[in-house]
Amino acid sequence: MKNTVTPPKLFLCFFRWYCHPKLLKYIEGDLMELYDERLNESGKRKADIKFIMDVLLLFRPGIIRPKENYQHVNQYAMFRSYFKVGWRNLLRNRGYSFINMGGLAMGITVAMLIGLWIHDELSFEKNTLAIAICCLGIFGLASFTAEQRTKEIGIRKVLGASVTNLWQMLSKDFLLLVIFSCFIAAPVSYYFLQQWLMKYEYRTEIGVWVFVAAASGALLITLVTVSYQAIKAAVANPIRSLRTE
Amino acid sequence: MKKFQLGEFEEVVMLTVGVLYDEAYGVSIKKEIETRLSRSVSVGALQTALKRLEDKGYLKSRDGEATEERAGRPKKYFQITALGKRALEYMRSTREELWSAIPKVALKISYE
Repeated sequence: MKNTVTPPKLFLCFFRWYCHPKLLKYIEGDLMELYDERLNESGKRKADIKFIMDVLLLFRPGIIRPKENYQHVNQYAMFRSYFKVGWRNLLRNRGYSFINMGGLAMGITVAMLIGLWIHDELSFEKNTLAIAICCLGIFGLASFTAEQRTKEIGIRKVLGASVTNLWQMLSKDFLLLVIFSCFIAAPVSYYFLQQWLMKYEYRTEIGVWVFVAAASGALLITLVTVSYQAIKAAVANPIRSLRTE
Repeated sequence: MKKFQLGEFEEVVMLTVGVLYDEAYGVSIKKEIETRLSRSVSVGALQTALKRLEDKGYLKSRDGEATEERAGRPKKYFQITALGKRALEYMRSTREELWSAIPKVALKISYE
């Protein structure tokens, strides 16, 4: 070692801490070179001060290291691909998804109708019951699918899928299903209600809130039931599902 | 509609990289700008500009030798890429167009 004089340790450590790892060695080299030169030119004190200024001025975006394990950019891509896969699944099993969607649409339609009817009769909101009926259907479907896919879940688990992964995998199909069903159900129930309300002289208006409430309720219930089923299947020991044939 | 994104300081940095040709690395660029344009350049400003230019693809870099005064750290030499050259030419031609479009009267300013 030629020179035993080193720049202020504290600031050097600070620099090493915040600097982008890819740039660190180059910029540190530059700083060292400049420090060495200034040391010969104008003494240790001035070189120290200039070094500190440089380190502080380097503390800016672009040079500061990116936050570790930040993932949200990736997350969007993942959700996109999930929905793509879900969509393809729907297209592949056209018959079944049609039946499922039709059934769900009917369920949601009925739920909306009952909700509106009860609303009309009692003049206050009470469509929780109807949605409960509808959610029974979704619940059954969810548990059925989870049951069907226990082997797949087991294998995925053995290969290292986390519970979150499995949950997302199961929910994506259902979310698509429910969203499409809502889109089908809304106009149908609107039409029937309109027909039905025509009979009365004094009738209530069909508010948008009914559809929004029914759709969001259906989505929420789907998520909850699917989550319940998925987590139950995912937490279970995979050996159980894989051993039995 | 901007074809090439190049700020004023970035342009200066790129031109200096061109001036230094084979010897353009952090410290030498800084000194060259300071002596030629007599303005002070902080390491931070220079390094961010260099990183941005490299990200845009206007500059490319290679590792240099590690010397003793740099405490064993390598230098990072920069070089202008073909895209960078195009960007510089674009900047220059737009400036020249603007200059030639100014009517002579506009620049005939008498100092009273």
